[in-house]
Amino acid sequence: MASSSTARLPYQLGVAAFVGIFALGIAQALRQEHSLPPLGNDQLSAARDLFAAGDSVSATAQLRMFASIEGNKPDGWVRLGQVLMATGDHAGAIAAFERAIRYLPDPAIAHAQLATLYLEAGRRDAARAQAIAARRAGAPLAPELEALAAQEGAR
Amino acid sequence: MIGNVAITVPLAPRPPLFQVGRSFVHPLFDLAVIGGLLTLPIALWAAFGGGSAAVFLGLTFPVIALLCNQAHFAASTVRLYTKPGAFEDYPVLTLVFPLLTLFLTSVFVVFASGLGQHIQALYLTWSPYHYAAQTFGLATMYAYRSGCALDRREWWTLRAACMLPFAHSLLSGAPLGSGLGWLFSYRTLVSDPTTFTALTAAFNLTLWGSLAAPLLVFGVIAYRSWARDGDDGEAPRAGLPLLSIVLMLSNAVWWTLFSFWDAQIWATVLHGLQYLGILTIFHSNDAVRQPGNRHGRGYHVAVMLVLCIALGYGLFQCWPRAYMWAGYGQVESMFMVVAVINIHHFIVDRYIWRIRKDRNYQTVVA
Repeated sequence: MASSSTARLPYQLGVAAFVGIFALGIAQALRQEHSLPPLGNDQLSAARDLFAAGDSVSATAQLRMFASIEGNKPDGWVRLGQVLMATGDHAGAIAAFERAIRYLPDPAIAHAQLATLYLEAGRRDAARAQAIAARRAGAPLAPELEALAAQEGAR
Repeated sequence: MIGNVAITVPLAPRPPLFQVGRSFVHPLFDLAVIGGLLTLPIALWAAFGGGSAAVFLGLTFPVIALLCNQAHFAASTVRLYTKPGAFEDYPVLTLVFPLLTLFLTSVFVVFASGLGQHIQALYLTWSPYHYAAQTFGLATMYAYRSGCALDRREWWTLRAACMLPFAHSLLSGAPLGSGLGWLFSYRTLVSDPTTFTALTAAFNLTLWGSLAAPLLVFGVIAYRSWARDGDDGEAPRAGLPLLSIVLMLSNAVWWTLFSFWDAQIWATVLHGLQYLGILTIFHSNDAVRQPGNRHGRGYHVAVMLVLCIALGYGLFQCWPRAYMWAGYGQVESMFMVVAVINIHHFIVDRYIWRIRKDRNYQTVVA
């Protein structure tokens, strides 16, 4: 018959593993922020810090992960679209905003941003449709998009 | 009548149909903390005040989350390892499950871009079921303690009533990708008029059903208890205690008065408070019964709560950072660790709160 301590080896390994993990976590916080891990679960604080420090590639990768895990909600895709738009990746931003408006409630800001991006890409009809959707949802529009949406209304 | 002498046999008093129930600590404590009555005015105020949980709790939320929510998730693990005989009773759960959990969490973090959405949806869908099941467990426990032994049909009726808020959450979570929304796109669900009408009807039915069912179950059990006269072999019995009704109403209020996401926040915080209350009762009862115990109940309660808070901090704040130390992003580390802690808690709870043929029985009938 195995002794009690041998039988409990997986438990002891588990305890050791978790103690080690907690120590690593504390070490990471001390190294990165010079403090113990703070309370709260803000999953995007690192992405914001990365973006502020000019590392838009890593920040975008984190936002992409956020959007993918919160995949059925528009919020993550809107955030990703805004960052991609700010970094000049307009094709990526269009894809993110198009994904955002697939869900309900479709965010007005995504329609407004899509209208701008489509217009810049020369896709006038698509821009007009998005401008109308944005205006219907109460989003503020740039004057040329307002004019575009109004043209449709006058037709 | 024996000869000419009338003998009067005193009748045993009929068990009460309306009763608070047999509490563990004090009726007020059990009603307020374990029953969740404390949370009803808060919930009503917050729901009708219109503020979201995040706004309402504001900057205090991280502290409240640590003391109630995170401590309660850790509490199931602390309870597992401090429960007398746990290693013998649950060898897989105590010996293998922690390492398995660690391995699976690491797999989920590595493959978060593909698996993350489903792990997240799984735990968000499972949460309301877990709260409903806990409500049912506590409601039957108080019924049993208070002299209201349920027959099979009543047991199932009570279970169905407790599960209605979970059914409601399957619909209310759909716009956020949980419940039905995990399986079907919400836009698809609401774009077909027939499906939309059916879902709206089901939403309203489960909403009002969740709130009305506790009172209906109370009425049915009170009637069935009253109808027992002892002639047909069924002993007279008390009605369902107020403690059971309040438990069911609090869970129903959380899941019906708030939006799905606010309900997740409020229910986890308030359920955490409820959980820590019942946990300290069971733990301290076990501890003071141990041979050689030299401490009072208060000591065991305090030690248990400190352990739960410390482990909660380690699990929720330190564990994700170990993955960040290894080079993984904050997003996948935090999301996956939180989801796995939830799922681990749901599974462990399934075993440690058993009453029948378990040491917990001593505390229930004490």
